[in-house]
Amino acid sequence: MSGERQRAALIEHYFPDIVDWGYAVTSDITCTYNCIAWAAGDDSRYWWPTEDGSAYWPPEAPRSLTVDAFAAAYGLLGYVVCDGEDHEEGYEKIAIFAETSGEPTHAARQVDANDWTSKVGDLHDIRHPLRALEGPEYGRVVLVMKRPVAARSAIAPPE
Amino acid sequence: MSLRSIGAQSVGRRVALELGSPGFLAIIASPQARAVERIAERLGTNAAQLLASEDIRAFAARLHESPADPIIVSGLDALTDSAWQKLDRQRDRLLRDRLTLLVLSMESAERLSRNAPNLASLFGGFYQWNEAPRAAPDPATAEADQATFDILAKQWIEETQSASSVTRKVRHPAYQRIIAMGERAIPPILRDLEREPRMWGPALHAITGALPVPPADAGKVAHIARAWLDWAKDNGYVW
Repeated sequence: MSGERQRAALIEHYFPDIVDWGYAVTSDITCTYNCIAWAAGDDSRYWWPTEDGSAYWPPEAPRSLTVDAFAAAYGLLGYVVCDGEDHEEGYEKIAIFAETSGEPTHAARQVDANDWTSKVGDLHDIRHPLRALEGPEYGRVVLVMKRPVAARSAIAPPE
Repeated sequence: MSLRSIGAQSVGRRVALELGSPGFLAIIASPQARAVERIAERLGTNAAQLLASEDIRAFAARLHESPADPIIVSGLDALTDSAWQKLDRQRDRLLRDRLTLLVLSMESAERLSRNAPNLASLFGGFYQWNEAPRAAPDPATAEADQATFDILAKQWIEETQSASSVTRKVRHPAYQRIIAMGERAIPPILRDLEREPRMWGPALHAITGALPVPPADAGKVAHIARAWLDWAKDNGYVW
């Protein structure tokens, strides 16, 4: 128990208001994958549009640090832009965060009507209300996308 | 032309990965390195040597006559721009069912890249021959470098571990100061990589220019760490 509190303390260090929102730690600390990968359903590697092999990026998606490029990457997994973050039966959603400059910072994946799941950098996965992660670290939700739940197995992330 | 560094000790292993398949590899080395002789010696009796020729038909015929795997081609410094352009147009004649290894100077490699882009695209890699074993750093300097690295790395980790953005991690001032340490940062980085597969690849690439991570391993942090540690060992780094 004290170990879990210690790990949660790191999350609360970066997101001081998250306690008031309510959240749960759902994994150990790992740097194997990042939030962009986790939102894509991939827990085997980092996703980011780099040129030096430090991260994976779908070859068909534009390799640029823009929300459009990230949307294109998720589009390859069957996601399309949608109007809102409300849970829709038969669909799963992802939300892309960006700084005021427009540079993407984070992605989260919807779990149910109340919660989303996020990989917090090199720390834990957590389950949280979507807006709980808005703020100085990640900026704001700028785009929400959805796909039919059936598409999850039909269009899996690459091996 | 994307160049990767290869240690003299590693050429045999790298070439062995390509044996038995059609293709080209390029090793870029200065004449003083005696790379052709040393590669041939390392590969043993299976390798044959061939001098390049501007007579494409004759050159292609000699390439295809030999069953050697690989054939090591040298003498490419004598080829002019128009000769490379001719080779580019007739590249299909040059492709054997086994490996063809070109050993050439940087100037010739640039001429190839400029005048024979279609031929260049057939290459499995362009490798810069790196043979000098690196001197172990002075202990006092190494200790000071490690201390500096430890302070900067701690700050970098604490201030970016919540970020998924590789850009944000690399852009961080402490990370940039580590890159600015240059070669002196490499041993501490490698020691840290052995402990934890952190995002040190961009720093190592910025310092060395190398890109040892196979495309299939992009983003796989443990594989990336292994690729860099192997590259460092092959290139004579001591840590």
